[in-house]
Amino acid sequence: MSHRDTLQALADARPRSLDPSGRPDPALIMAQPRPESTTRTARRPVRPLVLAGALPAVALAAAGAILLNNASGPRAPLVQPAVSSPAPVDVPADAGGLLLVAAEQSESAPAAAGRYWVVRAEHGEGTRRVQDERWLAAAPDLPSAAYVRDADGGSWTSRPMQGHTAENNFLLAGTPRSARELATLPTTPAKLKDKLLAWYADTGATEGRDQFLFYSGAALVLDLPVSPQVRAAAYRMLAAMPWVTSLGRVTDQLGRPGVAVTVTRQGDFGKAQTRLIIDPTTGQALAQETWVADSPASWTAVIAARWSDDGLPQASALR
Amino acid sequence: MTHAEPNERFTALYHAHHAQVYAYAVSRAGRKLADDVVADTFLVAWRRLDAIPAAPLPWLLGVARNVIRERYRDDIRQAGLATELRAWVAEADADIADGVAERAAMLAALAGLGEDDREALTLTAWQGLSAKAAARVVGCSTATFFVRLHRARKRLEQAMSDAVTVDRHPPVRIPDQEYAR
Repeated sequence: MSHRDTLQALADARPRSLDPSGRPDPALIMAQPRPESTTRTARRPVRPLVLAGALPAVALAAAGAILLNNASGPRAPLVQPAVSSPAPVDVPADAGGLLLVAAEQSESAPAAAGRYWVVRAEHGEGTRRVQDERWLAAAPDLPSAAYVRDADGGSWTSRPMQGHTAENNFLLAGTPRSARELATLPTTPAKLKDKLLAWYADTGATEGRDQFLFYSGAALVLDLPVSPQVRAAAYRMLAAMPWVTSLGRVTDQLGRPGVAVTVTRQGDFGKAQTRLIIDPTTGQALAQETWVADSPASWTAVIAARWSDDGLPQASALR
Repeated sequence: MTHAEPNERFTALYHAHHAQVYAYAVSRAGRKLADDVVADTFLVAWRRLDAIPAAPLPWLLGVARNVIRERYRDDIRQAGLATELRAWVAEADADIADGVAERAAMLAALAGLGEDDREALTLTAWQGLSAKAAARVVGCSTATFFVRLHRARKRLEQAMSDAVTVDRHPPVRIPDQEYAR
């Protein structure tokens, strides 16, 4: 095959998924403020190409941004304008307080184990929504599988998850962990944090330590198979992080009421906010959402997470 | 300058290049992150409208490249990309049109290449960029890009000829929602 033919064959093999399913209205972008001139702000060193994307402080304040370096301590819940809020008053206003409530509630859940950790969730990104149910092997020599369907219902399609075993099935802040590693996590917040930081050092991740701890803690409470004690320890670890702030009462993308805590990443252009939404009455984490420019960009809402000792079901058996 | 003028210029830019920026974002970070990358890229373009050169596409893709690198944790991007690359092969396999085996083999070979190789090849074959334009995107000289493209093409051909022994579904290392959507 000649070089030219190779490039032509590659061009012919272009995947269809490179084509966008739609084109959002550019008015959303043009609604953002445009600087009169591209003068440099002295606030932070940033690379020249993306410099002008840095949001002026005024725009951040107007957008209701919550910055990572906000002081901790009690404050009024900051409810985003788009969110309706029935307002019972029994939830602490500050992130630390409500995470501690969640810790206490979740600690009383019964412990369990099984051959499969089964998580049903709905994922959204832009206008696309899909539901999946993942059967993640937690015992040796078992295959794993995922089942997907349209978020509006319909029948399930089975997708084998090749290479997924109890040794690597569980993603914690971007790195795969085994069922055994999760089962042996410490149950006190300080020791849990030490363990996570040891993993952080191992991964050589370039992101900040604080980000890593938040994402790890969120994963532990949201959809990883850990004991109620580890889950409570993760909540307490998050509660001790001053850069985690409260949004008060919110509704997740499935319409379920909860309370949200959040971290905001300030990139060189704009901010991305990650929300962890919790049902304060059960301590169960409901969803994790990424918000960009005050609208949800992508999200995962956990519908159910449970243990099973059954074998992999047929897709047609799922309801 | 009137207010209408930047709006019109931006709208034209957006409609002309949205699909290309999206395609680049998918090929670099996976479709899961692509919408975010595209939105951020055009937000930068909106704010720097006066700085955009006459041939905007290489500039836009260069911004997208920086957006991806600056904004996402590397493990998140790699997980998204790994999922994407597997999905390409799986979707090509599932296709029932002619020439499917070759397409799937090509995409599997591409998935096995290093990121720089894949970028050089896809900017050329999928974005249709000249070596000069692609060099602007990746930030090197045109001569350097030619060398990179040449080497990448040779490695792709090698991977294609090795394909019989290549496991098309190697064990994955980052299990984040690994099904092929």
